Amino acid sequence: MSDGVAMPRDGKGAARGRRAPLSSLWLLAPAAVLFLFVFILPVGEVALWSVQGEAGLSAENYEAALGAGPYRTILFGTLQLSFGVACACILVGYPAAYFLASRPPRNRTLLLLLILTPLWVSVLVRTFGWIVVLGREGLVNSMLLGIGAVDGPLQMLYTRGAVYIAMVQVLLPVAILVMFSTMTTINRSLLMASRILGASPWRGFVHIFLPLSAGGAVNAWMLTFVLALGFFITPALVGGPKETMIANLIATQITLTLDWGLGSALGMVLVIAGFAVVGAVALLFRRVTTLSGHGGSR
Amino acid sequence: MKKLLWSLSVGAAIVGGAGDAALAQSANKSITIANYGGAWAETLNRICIEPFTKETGITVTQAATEDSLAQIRVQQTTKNILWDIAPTERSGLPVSSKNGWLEPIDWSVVDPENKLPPVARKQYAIGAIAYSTTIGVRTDKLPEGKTFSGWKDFWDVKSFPGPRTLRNSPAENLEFALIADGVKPSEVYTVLRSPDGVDRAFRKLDEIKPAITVWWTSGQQPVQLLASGEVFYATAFNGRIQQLQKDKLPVRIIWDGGSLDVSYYSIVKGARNVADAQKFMKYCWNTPSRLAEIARAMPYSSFNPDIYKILSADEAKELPTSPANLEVQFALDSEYWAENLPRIQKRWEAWRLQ
Repeated sequence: MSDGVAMPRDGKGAARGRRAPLSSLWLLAPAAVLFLFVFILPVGEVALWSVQGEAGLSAENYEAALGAGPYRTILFGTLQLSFGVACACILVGYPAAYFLASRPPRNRTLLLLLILTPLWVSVLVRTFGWIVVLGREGLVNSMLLGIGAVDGPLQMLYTRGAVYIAMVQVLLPVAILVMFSTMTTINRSLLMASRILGASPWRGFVHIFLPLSAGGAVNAWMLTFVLALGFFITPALVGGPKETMIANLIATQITLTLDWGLGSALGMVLVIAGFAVVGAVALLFRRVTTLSGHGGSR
Repeated sequence: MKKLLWSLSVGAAIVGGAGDAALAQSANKSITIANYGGAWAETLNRICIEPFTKETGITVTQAATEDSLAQIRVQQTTKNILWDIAPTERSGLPVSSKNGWLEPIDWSVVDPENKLPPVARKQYAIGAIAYSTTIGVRTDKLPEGKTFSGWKDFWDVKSFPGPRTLRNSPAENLEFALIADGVKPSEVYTVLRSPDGVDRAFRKLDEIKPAITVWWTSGQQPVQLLASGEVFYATAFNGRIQQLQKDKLPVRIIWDGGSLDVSYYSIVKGARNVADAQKFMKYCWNTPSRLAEIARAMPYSSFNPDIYKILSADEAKELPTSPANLEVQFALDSEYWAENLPRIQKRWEAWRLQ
């Protein structure tokens, strides 16, 4: 990465560089074949189901999914919740990733391991853990009651707050790892140079480190957002009715009511909405993402 | 992950299918039973599968599933039949029979003496055992000197204050609401089928909604909530509440107005070994000695009346199909729900969000 080759600043060079010689396209073949069979074909089939009506093609499933009613409310609720969770992951994870990246490499391994350990525990178990902690007679309530801070147990479970806490805890390691890997590619001598030229540490951070790491943060946001969209165990176990996720609805249609047309339409809507949000964010932050793509190491 | 494993196994089955089928036909000595896994699968294995294999030489494979009906549909549409016997409770049976996904049961093999009542003797399924969705009550949280006796009390948040939980499903809950509203358990479906029935049930549910802290989704959740004191009153499967009692928790089970749900098993259309599947059904689910063993292992019981000749009176009173308990409950009408679930489910989602 830090090979000293100057990249043009206007981005045209990057586009030219991306054009790979045709002869090496076969390198993509294994991935393309896998992708075709495990993604494109199944999703295509689901897309077909979603437009099949009693007699031929029909938009009725999409009307049911997007028309006024519970499904639309739940879809917007899912997008909103995932948006909030992704933002919270970045806010909490960024300082942690910064801390990690500024440790000497030898100490990082242990710290990384600590961040990764929760990933080895099943989401279900971690969620039940939160039930124990946040419950009526749980850890937090017993403590608050014990020191006399509250008169009766607080209702913490089955609230939006509980869903935020549990989902952020599940997704945080992913966000930290993505941001961390971008931060390690940032050339620290740039910061040193800014200090030599008289900038304060804060100014160095705001003008050098933050822009160079922003791309990682945007990527981490997109990844956690997409993962959050598909959540359903956690919100179902620690949230209230208002935290019903679209994934729960899809599961109901597939396994309970056997309305696969509606289930497929809901699934397609989720995929498209996910792409739309991620696409919009990627466009919006195009400048920062391209910057950190190859700017960090120069 | 599970879905991935499943697709992989389907893939493997497609690749190896031709060879396997030929092998099975020549040997003809294996059946695959799908069920919900867990303690039930272990009980089946110990009481039925191991002795069955020993006596007949037929190997029995269990396959765990959580969404039997969807899987049956997939296997039928792809014509890749992996199971011989599959669970078809609730809307599973009416939906699969209507679509022609099941083999008829040969009752001359499975119930030659005609012991089972009609509810367990369906054209396309045997009612293997029954379980109840009943009320579990934390007795230590009851107000001083009051006895809790059924759905009217569940709805009475003034006399019996405290958090409650119900299943996140319109099936059963509409029935419970009607019973709380004064309908006799034996008449709930007559009322539900009447034009104003569903509206009446939802109106009654409006009253209890603020007291429901959580709508449970998986069977272990309500007992967990009862055990941790998160709720004082819960609907749950009778076996799970009885497990709490075994763990010495102050919990009582209320049979009054409970919903009796039959655990049906069917032979899927195109199953590789229909004959041996029928034999297994008779061996496991219609032999009194084994059914009594099953009832002792888990408090889920058969409709075969002969099991009460084997079980003691004390054992019998804990079972959902014992005469005394049978009388005060209603049987979940799976046909009603197969017909109406899609429509009512949407209303249910909307109602919960309000």
